[in-house]
Amino acid sequence: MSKGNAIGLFFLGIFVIFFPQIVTDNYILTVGIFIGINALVAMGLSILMGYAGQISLGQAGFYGLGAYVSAILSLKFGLPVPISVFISILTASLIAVILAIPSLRLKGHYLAVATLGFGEIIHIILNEWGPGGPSGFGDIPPFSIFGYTLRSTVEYFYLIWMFIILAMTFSLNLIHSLTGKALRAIHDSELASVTLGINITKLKIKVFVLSSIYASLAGALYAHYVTFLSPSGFSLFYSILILMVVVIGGMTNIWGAIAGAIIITILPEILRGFKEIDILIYGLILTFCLLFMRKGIVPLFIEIWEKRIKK
Amino acid sequence: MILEINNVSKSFGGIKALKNINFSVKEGEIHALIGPNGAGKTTLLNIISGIEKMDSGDIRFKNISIKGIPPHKRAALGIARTFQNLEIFGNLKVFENILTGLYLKNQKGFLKSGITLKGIDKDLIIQSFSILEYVNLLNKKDELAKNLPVGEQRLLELGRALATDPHLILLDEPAAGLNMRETKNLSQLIQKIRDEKAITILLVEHDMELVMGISDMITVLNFGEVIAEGEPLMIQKNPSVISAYLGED
Repeated sequence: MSKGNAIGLFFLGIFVIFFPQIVTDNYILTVGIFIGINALVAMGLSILMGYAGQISLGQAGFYGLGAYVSAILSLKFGLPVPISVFISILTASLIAVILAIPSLRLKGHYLAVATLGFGEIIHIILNEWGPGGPSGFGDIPPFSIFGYTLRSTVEYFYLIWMFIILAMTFSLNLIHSLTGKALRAIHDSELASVTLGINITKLKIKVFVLSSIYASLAGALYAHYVTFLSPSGFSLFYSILILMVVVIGGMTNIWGAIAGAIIITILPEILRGFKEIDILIYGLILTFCLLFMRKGIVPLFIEIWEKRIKK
Repeated sequence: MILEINNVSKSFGGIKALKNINFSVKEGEIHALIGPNGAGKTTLLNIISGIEKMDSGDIRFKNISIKGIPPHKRAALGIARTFQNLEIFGNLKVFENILTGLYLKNQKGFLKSGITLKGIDKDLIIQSFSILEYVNLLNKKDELAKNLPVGEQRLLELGRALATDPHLILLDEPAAGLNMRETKNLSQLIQKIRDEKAITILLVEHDMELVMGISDMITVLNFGEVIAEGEPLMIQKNPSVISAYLGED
């Protein structure tokens, strides 16, 4: 990890610790939790797109799988929550491997097509066979560990942002390792990477599995925080939303996942005052971002910052 | 013999790009592969590095058949290459391009990379600098590779290939787009690689001055067939080579 990133993580940690002490408003903390959940899903997609050069349109599938598997295991089978979360992550990563092996062996964007189909299949399965069908089910046990049950919003805020910091640390370590350079190489030229002895299929599969782990973890945390699940939150729309988070934040920088999640999550809340034209303004702002900030917000700010230093 | 090409054939649709190619490359030599455009030289390099599959025949590297071995494993066996249409990693810095070559022999697991805080070993960074020094690019180490001029990008590709610690380097038109001074430096560098590092070189090149100046052996291809083989002086006098290049009267 580079110095700048280590300092960034340190300040993020400080911020996370003190934020709920200063801002005690439950509504704002709830928004903070949803920013965290979206950022965690986006982080995986960001590495997949920015480093392995692959697009997934099915992150909602892993997110939904994580949520439903963990919820069902803890509610219907009485498993302790940490174990049900763990099994849900395992399930998602296993499915990721099965999806990735055939689609990543081929050149091109077969993964995007495969994951698009996968996401839809999961959505249909949740609708048809999920407990409660389209209307969903509740009474999911809250998150508890070593006999302590998390109840307040503040506790969930800490729990989710702790996972963000852990995932961030892992991702930054990976990106700044030799393996990270190999991943960037794959993004620039697969042909050259192969002739340098980089097993690109294997690396791409691993990154995809990592993205499924982040997404399913986020889904499981969501399930035990909200304690109610219905399939509507796990449709293609959510996959596209996460894609937006990554693109707006900037896919060449992992911090973009957090920046993008802040913008995409807060924007509808701010625009609520505009009533029925909110979606119009939402669309306009996003279009503006895509037109004038092609690389995304974080890389753009870094560019401006570096130019100022040079002056 | 470090590399043996036995009866290799390849066709694209109805066009026979390579017809029963036979030749061998001796260890420690600079072996040039020349011929007019469309003779099948790049196709043959692609087949040797495993990017394309041959229809029939066999290729032996260090007395082992490498038929059917995927390209990344061929790199691990010791075959490196550069590209006619440059394939540098433009968004990486110059020294990071070299690091991608060092990845082959210094890689750690995916999980281990994620839990190791200290990043890339100092030793590897130093190693990448010394390779850059070898190819005369050390002063550009922190630049983005895409900002280098073509001549330096070619040197960078060569340095990146050297970083994989190969026994054989396939050079695909390394002098294309270089000026005379750059070509001269390149020819000295290629000779230095052969003499100091004992790396065998298979060179595809159109610049005849360069080819005749540094090659130990030359194989001439025309329309997918070997039409001549020998030392530079013999090739220059060979009538079928002359007619292949200049056309017959």
